[in-house]
Amino acid sequence: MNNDKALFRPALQRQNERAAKMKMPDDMEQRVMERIKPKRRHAWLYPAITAVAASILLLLTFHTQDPESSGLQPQNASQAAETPAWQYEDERTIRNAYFAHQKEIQEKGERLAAYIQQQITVNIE
Amino acid sequence: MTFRLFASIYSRMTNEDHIIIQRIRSGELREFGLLVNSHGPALMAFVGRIVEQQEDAEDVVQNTFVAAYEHLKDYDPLRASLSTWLQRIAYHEALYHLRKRKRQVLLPLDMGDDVPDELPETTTAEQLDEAIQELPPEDQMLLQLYYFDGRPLKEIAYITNASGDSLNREVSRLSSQLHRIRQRLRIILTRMNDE
Repeated sequence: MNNDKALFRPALQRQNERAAKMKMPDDMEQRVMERIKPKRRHAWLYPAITAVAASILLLLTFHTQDPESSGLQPQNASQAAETPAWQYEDERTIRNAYFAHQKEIQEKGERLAAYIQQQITVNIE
Repeated sequence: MTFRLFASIYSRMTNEDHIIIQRIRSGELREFGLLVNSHGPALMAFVGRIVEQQEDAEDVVQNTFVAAYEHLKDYDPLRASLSTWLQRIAYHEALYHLRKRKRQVLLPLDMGDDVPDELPETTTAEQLDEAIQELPPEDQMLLQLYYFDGRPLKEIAYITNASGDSLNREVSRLSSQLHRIRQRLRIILTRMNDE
């Protein structure tokens, strides 16, 4: 083993001399820094995107929770100031009654269609 | 005993490196350029033992520094000096580079019973150098680190260990590998002498 060491060292020395000829290029620092910098920019990019997304989400949440955002609110703020609260309630009641009436008509129509269908089937038989 | 071990390892890391690393970790990116300039030349010579072309060595060293920057938070000065840590990254980068280029040639040697016990007595350094060139890059590097640098197997194991196994297991593997390399070299040299 020790004999091996004595022989290996000069043999490996030659390989080391070849390796020592490899010089670091002058622009190595620049090359490395250029590759590192975009990574740093990316590190800022993700929190920025997250912050924008969170802001949009918050805006949407507040918008939908707004009691006056049901579609019945006035077009602008000045109109809102002039319109009394009881009038909103009135409008809502009328609208609900209208929707209920429409639903009733639809249900009657469906029942009538089912009756006609049944009569046609009986006549054919 | 433990304190002395930590102290000896820690002292390997120069004060200058320590200050630079602290600054980089606190966000001063420009400081990393100082590390590149101070450790780059030695790293080029280290990588030059594995890859043959200057351009390849430059790519490997460049990749090494980028990887080192990305994993700087993982560096533990109590486990190894900064230069050894960089060499560990460079070693694996170089082997990865060679695998990509498919330059690695494994010798189809028959390791039968007729392996000579010793290197042939007439072996010269030139012949041994020629025989070493026929070995895979990992084996050449192992010889360099063990026989030329005279590094302890534990330090070599830190550099070569990539699988996350314990250092002791890697030391044991390296020890067996050195034995196999010597056998392989004996066969190559015997054949060279016969020709």
